[in-house]
Amino acid sequence: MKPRFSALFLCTLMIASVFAGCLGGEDDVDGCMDATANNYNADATVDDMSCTYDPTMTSVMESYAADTMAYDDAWSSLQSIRACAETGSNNPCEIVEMTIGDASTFDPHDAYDSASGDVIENVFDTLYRYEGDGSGNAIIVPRLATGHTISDDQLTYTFTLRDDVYFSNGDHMTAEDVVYSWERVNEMASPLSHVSWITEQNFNTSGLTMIDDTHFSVTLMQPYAGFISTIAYTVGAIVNKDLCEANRIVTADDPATADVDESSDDWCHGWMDEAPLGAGTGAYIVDSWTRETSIVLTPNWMYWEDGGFNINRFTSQIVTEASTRLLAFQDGEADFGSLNIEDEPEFCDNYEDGPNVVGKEGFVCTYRESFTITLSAMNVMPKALDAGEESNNTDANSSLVLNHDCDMDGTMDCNVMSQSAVRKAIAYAFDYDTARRDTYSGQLAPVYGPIPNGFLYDETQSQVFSYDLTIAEQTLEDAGFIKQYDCSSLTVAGAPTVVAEGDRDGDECRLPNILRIMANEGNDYRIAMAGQIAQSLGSIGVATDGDAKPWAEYLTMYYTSTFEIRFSGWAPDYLDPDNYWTPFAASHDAGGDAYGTNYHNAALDENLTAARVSTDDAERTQLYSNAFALWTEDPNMIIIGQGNGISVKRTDIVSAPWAAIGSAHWFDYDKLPVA
Amino acid sequence: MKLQEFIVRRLILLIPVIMGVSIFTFAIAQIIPADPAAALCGEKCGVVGSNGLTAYESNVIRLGLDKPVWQQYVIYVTNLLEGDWGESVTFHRPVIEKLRDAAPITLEMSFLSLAMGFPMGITLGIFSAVWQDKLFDQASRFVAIAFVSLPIFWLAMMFQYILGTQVGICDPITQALPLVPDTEGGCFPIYGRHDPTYTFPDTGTGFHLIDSWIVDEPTKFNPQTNRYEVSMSHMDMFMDTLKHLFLPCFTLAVASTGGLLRYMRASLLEVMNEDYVRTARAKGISETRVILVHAVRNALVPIVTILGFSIGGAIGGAVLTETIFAFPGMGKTAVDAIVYLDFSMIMGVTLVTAIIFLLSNLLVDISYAIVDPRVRLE
Repeated sequence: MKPRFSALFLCTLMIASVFAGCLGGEDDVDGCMDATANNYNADATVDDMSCTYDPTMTSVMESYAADTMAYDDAWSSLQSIRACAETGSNNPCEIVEMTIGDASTFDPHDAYDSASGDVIENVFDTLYRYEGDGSGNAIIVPRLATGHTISDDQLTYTFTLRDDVYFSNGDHMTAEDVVYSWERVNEMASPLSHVSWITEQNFNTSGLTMIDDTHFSVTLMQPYAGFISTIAYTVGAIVNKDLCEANRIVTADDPATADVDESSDDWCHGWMDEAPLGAGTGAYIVDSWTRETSIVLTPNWMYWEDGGFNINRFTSQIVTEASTRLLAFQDGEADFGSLNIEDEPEFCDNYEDGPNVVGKEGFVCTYRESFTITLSAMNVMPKALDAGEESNNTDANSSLVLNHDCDMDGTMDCNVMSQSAVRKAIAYAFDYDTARRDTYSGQLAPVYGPIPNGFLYDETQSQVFSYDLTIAEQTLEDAGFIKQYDCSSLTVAGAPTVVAEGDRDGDECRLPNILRIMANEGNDYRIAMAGQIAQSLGSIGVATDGDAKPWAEYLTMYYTSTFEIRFSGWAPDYLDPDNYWTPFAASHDAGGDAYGTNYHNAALDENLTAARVSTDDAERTQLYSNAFALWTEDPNMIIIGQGNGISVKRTDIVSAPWAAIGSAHWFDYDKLPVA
Repeated sequence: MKLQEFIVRRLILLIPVIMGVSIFTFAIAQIIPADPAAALCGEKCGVVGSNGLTAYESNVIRLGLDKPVWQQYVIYVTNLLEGDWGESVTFHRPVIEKLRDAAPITLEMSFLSLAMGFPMGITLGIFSAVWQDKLFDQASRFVAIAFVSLPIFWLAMMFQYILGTQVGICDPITQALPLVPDTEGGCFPIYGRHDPTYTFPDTGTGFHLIDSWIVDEPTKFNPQTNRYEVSMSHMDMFMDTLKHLFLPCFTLAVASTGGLLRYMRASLLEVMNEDYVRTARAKGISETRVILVHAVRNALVPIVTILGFSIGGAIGGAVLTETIFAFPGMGKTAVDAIVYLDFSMIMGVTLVTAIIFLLSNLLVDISYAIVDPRVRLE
């Protein structure tokens, strides 16, 4: 009996224990058992599904997308969720920057200046954009696009877009907005800035096709490896189609005055000029723009990127006077001061040793490489003003200075500057090291060709030219430019006096004219470099002349071609070597010669055109190597250096990784609170 | 001639003068060896658009520079009369709009600087004359020469540094006056027209000292809530504007005080030797009354002339002070326009300056009649 009893007892016990839970109801606690919920009950033993949560960005946007939340409610909910709430004596939710010049427009499709771009990059988005990779390099990262495919013929790009992007007025962004935006760039043709050339070179309106809300395609006129980088520039920004159309002003032609074209279409440029609410999908909106005074940006709470805002207000104060900016930065009235180079050592130790610079107490000094090139353009077909002709003659009908017999037929049919030996000699007569080290206080790094260091295909270049007056003089001598002209007889275009061979004493000049060297007033660096090369050339028997010109006059001389050597610079528009090689060294016929050097080298054109359309890395490398070899034998520029700057900021500013192209994105910045 | 008749006649005379100014400036612009089309596109004039034209060529067409000069002038004058003063290539907006913003800034600053400078110069001039060759006279004349000799930009930068950034320098002033310092370091802001945490509506007069009283509900920005919600009074706005105006106006005032002191001193010394002053003294009138009532009033007549020119001078001086203190007024506008050869803007600034100058001289002429009843409006 004993075993049977034990088994029966155990079974009863097991069954009883199963029902024990049902019988013991008085000890259970109902409640929310999710520790992340607002009403989490630590004592709850039974989840009664009553959990409530604070709204999140995702939940608000889902409600808004589902039409269960109004725009105003969504906007204020998102503001409560995303706004910076830090406090401190340094206003940690606010950044004040002092800048030198005002923006020209916030219309991304007609802006071509950095001051406008700085705002546009924060108010509008592009499909891709430039960012720093943390190692000083610039990379292209997806933004409104999640990716793209390219057709086998390399002509058609099909883009996939994010589906969670809203304009700041709550309108959903779709492929229709993108297609409209790019159509607008080309059709409006940027009347003020001409920036539309960047897109016009690749596609026309008929190449744009909307597929569905998140897909569209663009067919290029010819393959272009740099296409994605061109649309990462602000000219590729996406604007709100509906708002633009609602504010577009179209004037029809008046039939009564048929002979006068009175039709016009502003493509909503007048409305877009100040980027009102709803214009873009970027992280910020334009709160106010007091011309020539300040620009204030505040958050677009509907911004699609995850996370809160560290900066609730960004103010750009326009202060042209350097001493005022310096005082304001010292005084704590500005977080960024756009300091002049000569003022920077006040905040940095070890300043002369650029890469190892460190900030003094309270400041961070960082050495940064940029893609800005400092150069001197050499004009192969210089002109001179005709007698009585004004230098502001916009017809540019001044006469060519013909002072050399290029085809050896006994007549002067070209200019000495058309001779590559002369330009090579000039390139050897420039003191690169002094310019980089002294003139630019070490803030100019060596670069040996049009492509900046750190850029794609920079390995196709190496040092060829250096400061060597012996080579410079020998190059001229070998090319037949011997010392034979009476220097005092030289003019810009007049016939020189040739000194009889027996009467020459070695003080004669080698070239039959005076070379005009141009720098612009106010740019002390260019003026110093112009002085240096004038001195060097003088020492090898080349006469020069050059005063610093007011900016407007400098530009006029450039355009009317009335110069031989012109100091200038280039900041890139987009991240492709073609944005350097073509404007620098391609001929006007090949879409280049932005510097008015009148340079034409057919073989170089051929290589650059092929490199432009090639999408094969190895082939492009070879083509750019060929181009460099050709160009160094026939240079049209002195490539002086690549701008490297020291950035100075306060220690409480935490910035995003530096990118040598593009502007600061304030959503990625933080300002640490100071007690 | 009645006063109204005189004013109308002088106003009508403004028309040929303004036409003359427009022809003169147009001619100067043609002679200047620079090209506004090139200035507009800068270093990227060579980029070629889809129409096959370079940026430069497109600008030439857009600005009408491909037309003969006389046609350009006729078009300009016609547009001018129709209220279209052209588009500024520097500021990317209509010239008239830019001038409407810039003129009140300069006028406000100029008038306030005159309001500070004239009393200072006249008072010091009176004391210098009264205490001729005494220590005060010697010292004030020395200071006057010093202030006249010092470049205005240097004065501006010194005041900016001392009064704008140095802690404690002006504590006594700020304690005595309701100019509570909220800038870091000093007691006066070193740049700008007002605290950047609030804005003035575009619909105002442009004179912030006036607009500060007509803003509907003055509020400041609260960065924590990202809203304009910190309530402020009209007086707060007015005092903040005044505080921002102080350094540029004080600079201009100090720069003009020296000259005024010397004018007033010389004028008063001359008047003090007149028979009617001697007669007044002989009649036993107190010396204070002789100086203030009989001498100073007569000595002020030539000073009124200077007042007219001083308005023009203040606008000229504004070129540097506006640049240093970041006031986007007429002076700074003129400099920017000249640098970029912004032809429409140069013409606009010149015309407005000429009009201001002519009107201020008209006011001076009217003032003569008030100060000196012997002057007739003819």
